[in-house]
Amino acid sequence: MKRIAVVGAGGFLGRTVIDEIGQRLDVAAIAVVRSPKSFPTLMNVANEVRFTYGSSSGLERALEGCDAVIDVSLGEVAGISGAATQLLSACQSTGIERLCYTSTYAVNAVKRSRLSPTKIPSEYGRQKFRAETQLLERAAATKIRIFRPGLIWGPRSSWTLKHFRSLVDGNIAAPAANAMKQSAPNLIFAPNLARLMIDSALSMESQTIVDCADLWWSSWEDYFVKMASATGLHHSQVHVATRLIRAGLAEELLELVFNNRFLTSVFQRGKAALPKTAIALLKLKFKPAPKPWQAVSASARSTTITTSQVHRDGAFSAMQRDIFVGWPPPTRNLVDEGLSELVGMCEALDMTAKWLRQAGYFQVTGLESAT
Amino acid sequence: MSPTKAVIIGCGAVLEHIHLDALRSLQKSGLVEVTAVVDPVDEMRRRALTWFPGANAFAQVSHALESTQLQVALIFSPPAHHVSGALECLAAGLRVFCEKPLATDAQDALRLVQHEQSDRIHVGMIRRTFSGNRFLRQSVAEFVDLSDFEFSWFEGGRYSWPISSESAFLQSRGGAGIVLDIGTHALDTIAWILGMPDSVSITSDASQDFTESNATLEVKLPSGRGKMQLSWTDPLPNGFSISSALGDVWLAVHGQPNVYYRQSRAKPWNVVQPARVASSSAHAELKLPKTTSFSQIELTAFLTNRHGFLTPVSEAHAILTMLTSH
Repeated sequence: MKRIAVVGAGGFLGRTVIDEIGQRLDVAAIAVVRSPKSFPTLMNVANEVRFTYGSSSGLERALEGCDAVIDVSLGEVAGISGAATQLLSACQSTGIERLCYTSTYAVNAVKRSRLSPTKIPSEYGRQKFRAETQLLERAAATKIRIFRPGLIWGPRSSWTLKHFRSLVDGNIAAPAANAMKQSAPNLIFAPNLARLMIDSALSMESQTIVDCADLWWSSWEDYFVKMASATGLHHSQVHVATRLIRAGLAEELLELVFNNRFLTSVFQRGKAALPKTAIALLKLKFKPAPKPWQAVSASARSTTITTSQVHRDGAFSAMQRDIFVGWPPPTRNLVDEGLSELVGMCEALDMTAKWLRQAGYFQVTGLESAT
Repeated sequence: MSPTKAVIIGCGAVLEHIHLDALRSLQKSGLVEVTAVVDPVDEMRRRALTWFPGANAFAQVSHALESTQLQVALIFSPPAHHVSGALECLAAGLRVFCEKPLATDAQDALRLVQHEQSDRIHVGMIRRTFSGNRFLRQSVAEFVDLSDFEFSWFEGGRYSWPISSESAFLQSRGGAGIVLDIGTHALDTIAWILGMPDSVSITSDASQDFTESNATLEVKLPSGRGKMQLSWTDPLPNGFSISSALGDVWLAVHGQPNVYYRQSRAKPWNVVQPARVASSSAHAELKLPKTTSFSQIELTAFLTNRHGFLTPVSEAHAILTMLTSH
């Protein structure tokens, strides 16, 4: 039986990975956490729980006897790159061949900022980018797959809870399907991300960076309408982006900010000073144009796509960028190749709605009787 | 009036994270004087002496009782040691404040109930000091038909207590799961507001040697019923609601003061006037500043013999019996 160490298993994604490993008979889940306070979360689901107590020697001991590592730890933002290299060293000293590292889609913003100073990179994205670079530079014989999820949703996700509450309140702030600057939502269903990571931990043979997202959503409005439907809410409950469309004046303010280098640097230092509406518009304005979703062959999960380059004047143009990895709907081929079948859209929505119901959110929001 | 001389039994996380600030504040105000601290671990004793420099440190309760003039004992040790510590202190004539749960075993706790001085021991159930709970205890009949009602209780989120070892969750080491940890709070609050339940049935995910991290409690009361969902793994909508034909009430379980009510499920929720809730708060009753912590309220009530804020040992035992008889 293969043993996969899940570093940072006490968090939302970690727990999902542990649950998914628990569905398989050929793999044991070794939960690796900093302190015993994560023990109650994991004791009845992981095969074993090990503690690092925050030390590198503790981490090495925790990884002993494992075949692969999936890192889903969060930690302090400032310590992200240090923690990643510490993990790689521990893998190398314990002879672990495969490491799956959870990065973030936000690293793309770091790259974009090199092309355009008007794009504001987040500290989190910068740190993850640094961690990715260091991992790949020092990988040596370790096979590393870096996952760059966007917003991870599904049962237990704080984002899902936020979206559900916003739906119930009729207060969704996202671009409508017919908006000028609409782009496909960058969402990934947590169990699918977990399955992809587990497959990679067991069988990957080369270094890869994986930008992963659900392929189901044509727009944010599409996602919210389907989520509303799955949870028994009427579609009229979805009021998309009305708040943003009304804010014409704020857009002018943003034009001013973005065309002035001094103001741009001021903004980078203190974007909290701007009104929330302005920040929302900023994100909307400088989001790339809709991505043309490219067909991916059933047997391959990675390809290169054409994406948008942001120019200094705020315009976009096409460029080849990175490696984009998506996946097609599950097919027999994937299963035959030993890869996990992925959860489809309807099942993902059903699983999420079922969890919301079981956890009492339907009752609290008065949806119980409606469904 | 001279300060009450106290011994602290158990100098670990409960003292450090719940009661330390309150005790130092009460010591400063002259209500209490910590003259002894007891813990079997050297490091814990040394640490406690930095918090209470005037105290003497002991490894065993008996040594503290022999060597020091004491009036009250504050028991913050692990639950499995509560009963033995409390019995020693009662025998020495001390009044006892014991952190919840009273014990890990109802049979063990029965020795305290049957003790001739059982009225000298009180159990700290901090949620009896919460304003919303105190308001509902007084006014629940205004909002809910108490002759036929249902309640639901959701409390869940990642465990965050700073423990140093996983043994606290091993059944073979007398560990306590979520039923004893959170369930005692939940059931005590229900019993305090709605009356003592007739029965409780529990389903949980306890496995092998591990205690449970998720549990569902079906509770039957003389004229109502309810369900509690407790979790250390899933984020739940942490709140407590009572529903009846007359209307519904809802409040959060972690001490937020707002109480919500509605006349039927079709109607929107309204907030009870905050001033009404505040007027029945422990702060108002004990004439303490609004910023006083719940721990300080609890300890002040114990030290000044205001027992309406604490759980009598017989009630704590009844709750424990329902939670551990499965």
